[in-house]
Amino acid sequence: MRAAEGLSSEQAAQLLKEAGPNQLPTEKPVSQLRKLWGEMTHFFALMLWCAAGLAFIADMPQLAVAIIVVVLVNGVFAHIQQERAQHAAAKLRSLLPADVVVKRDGRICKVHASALVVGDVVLLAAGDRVPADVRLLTASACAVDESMLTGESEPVLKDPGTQAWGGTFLVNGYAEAAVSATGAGTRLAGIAALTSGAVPPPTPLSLELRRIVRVTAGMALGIAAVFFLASLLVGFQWRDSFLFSIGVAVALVPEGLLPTVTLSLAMGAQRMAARNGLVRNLEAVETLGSTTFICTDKTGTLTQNRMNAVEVFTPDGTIYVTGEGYAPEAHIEGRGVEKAAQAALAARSASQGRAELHDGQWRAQGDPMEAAMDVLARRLT
Amino acid sequence: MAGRGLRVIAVARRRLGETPGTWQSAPASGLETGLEFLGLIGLQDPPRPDVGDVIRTARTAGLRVAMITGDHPATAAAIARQIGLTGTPEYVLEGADLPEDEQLLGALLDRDGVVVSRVSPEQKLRVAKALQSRGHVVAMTGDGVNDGPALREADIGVAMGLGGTDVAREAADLVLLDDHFGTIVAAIEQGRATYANIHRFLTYHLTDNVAELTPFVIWALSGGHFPLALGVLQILALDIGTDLLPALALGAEPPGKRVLSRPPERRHLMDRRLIIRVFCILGPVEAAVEMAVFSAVLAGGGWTRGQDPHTALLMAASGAAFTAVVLGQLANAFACRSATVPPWKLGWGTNRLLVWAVLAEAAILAACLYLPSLAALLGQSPPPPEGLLLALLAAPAVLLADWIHKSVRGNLRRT
Repeated sequence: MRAAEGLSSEQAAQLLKEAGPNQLPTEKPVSQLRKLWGEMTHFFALMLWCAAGLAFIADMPQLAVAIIVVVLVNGVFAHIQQERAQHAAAKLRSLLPADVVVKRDGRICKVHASALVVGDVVLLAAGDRVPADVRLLTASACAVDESMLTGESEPVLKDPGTQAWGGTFLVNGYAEAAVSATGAGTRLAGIAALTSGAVPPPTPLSLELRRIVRVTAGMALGIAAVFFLASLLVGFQWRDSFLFSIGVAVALVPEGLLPTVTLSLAMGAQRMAARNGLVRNLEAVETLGSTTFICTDKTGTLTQNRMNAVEVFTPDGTIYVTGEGYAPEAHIEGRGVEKAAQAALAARSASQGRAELHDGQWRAQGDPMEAAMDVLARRLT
Repeated sequence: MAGRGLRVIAVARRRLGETPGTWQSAPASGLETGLEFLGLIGLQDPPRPDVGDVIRTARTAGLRVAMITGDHPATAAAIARQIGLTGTPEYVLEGADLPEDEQLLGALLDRDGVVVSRVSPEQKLRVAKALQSRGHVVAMTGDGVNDGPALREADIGVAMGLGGTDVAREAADLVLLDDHFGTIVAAIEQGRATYANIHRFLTYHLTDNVAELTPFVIWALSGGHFPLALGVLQILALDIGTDLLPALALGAEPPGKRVLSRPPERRHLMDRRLIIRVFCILGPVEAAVEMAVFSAVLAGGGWTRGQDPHTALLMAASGAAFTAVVLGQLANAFACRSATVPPWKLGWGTNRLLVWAVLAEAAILAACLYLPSLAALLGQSPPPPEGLLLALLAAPAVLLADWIHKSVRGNLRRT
């Protein structure tokens, strides 16, 4: 197939204006005001509002004002904490490799993935994330990991003329491809839209707090009623008895509980973050504490997510290699190291992936399995 | 090698002639004949070095761990064995083997160390639902776009910060910045500590509710002849003034060493133990000192039952009662640090924040008593010296009651 020339910068800019950036449509964010409103109108807060109203009726404006201040301060505070948790998660997005190699104006240059438009010709190499839905123009030994779309963990071989989907990874080979859909038009975006429908269940903590609020509210009202009757019997006026019992009810509600819960969850979230766990909403901190079952994936969580040659069998015997990551140091056991080294060197010469030292860490360049051959050769020679 | 979950590559070579041009254009099928066998190389994505320890920790913490992966059965099982995940007998399944029926599925998976390979995202969702229907609180990891629904369904969706997709991260409750399994367990440890902290300050907050209610009860029982020890504004000053900082400090207790050495506690925050401790032990003791101090100051001022006390005397007595409650709570803050151990065994200064909070609490108390405008707003005045001395007894009284309660409970549990 003839090498594609790609778009000119002007064309690309024009198309970008028309089609918009190549980004997944984010879930329509709930407005700040609405969230803040939510922090002030949940069950516990409503109860405090009622208490404030009653205090006002009972001619105790200082009390009413104090309670209102508690609700407002807590609402704003809880809101700020939630926002901080969300913000930290949003920052993660910038971690993704975002530059793409494209052909524009007949030259090869790097642009941000969000600036891609339909018709752009992109150059992909092993290890790259496919930045948008593309049609492959040329492909050599091209294999794509589509597990994030299909759940299939085995890489799929791609020939020229076939489609590759945005969000998948090129695990092997090289390709030149024409962008066929970007942003909201990609298959990834279609699936992402399906995901946002599910409604998360209420957390154990919110259930528990609701229960506590119900119990204390019930208790406060019950006791207040008893006091109302008692003060009537003692000989107070109706009005005074009523005001008095309202005072009792307000006194019994633990006004300080709410900000304390919020702050202790925020503190928990902060400590988790210090240990590399980022919580996206505060109540998850407590839910984590009641977790009884962990379903975990294997790759990356339990394993190092790095291919490693651990055994070499040759006519001379078998050797066992234990080392960490792609570092060239390793512990070697068994017989036939010399023959094994020959095999490793041969395997390396037949592959393009290499291990390279980056910022003091050995990383795979290209196919991880090929890099493992390179590492094995280094370890044995 | 393949049986042990390794990916196997055969290496062979052939020596070519001197003229390069002839073989460069030749088809691969022609070249790859007459090869000399060199060896077989077995590859693996090796387990993280410390993951075995983490699995053991999870186990002592009463957590069940299952490997739910899209990978091949042999690879999955090999890794599971290496890190000591699988139990005896081994449960190694494939996604296709999973029963359709939710109850059956739950019964099948509800054990420690199950390995399920070749799992599709839809099956993940079903696994989460089945385990939840058996009463589990499920944490589920996922990194693909399709994992979104399963991550949302699980009580804790866990996504990867390094690998994985935005969609998974958007759907998750917890993002692992290092993708490490150990981070999940560390987060669970912190979560448990936070739960314990909420339990601590709930005990603390509710204790002074008893002391706040008692004056009203006594007033009502006496038919209005015994004056009210605390007013509503004083109560509010306790709830959101003096109590708040120590409660926050209790909410910041670091995780204890034993947090992961026992199974998860599935009980209500406000359980029987807490109710007994608050409403039968700590609360009444605090209230008793409060009322004793109040009546002592009244009696010292020449009040006798049935009279309406002088306003100045009532305000001083009320100030003494308020002081007793605050000092009782000050001691209570230390008592609430543990449900089993008296505070002197924990060390008084081991929660720095609490020390500061308690100092601040004392300062707020002084302000409530000695700032004339604030004291007048609350309806109290500084108590006489002997009233102050009596009020000081609230602290040792609470500590003593707490210590007796803890030792009796400890003895009961041992027998």
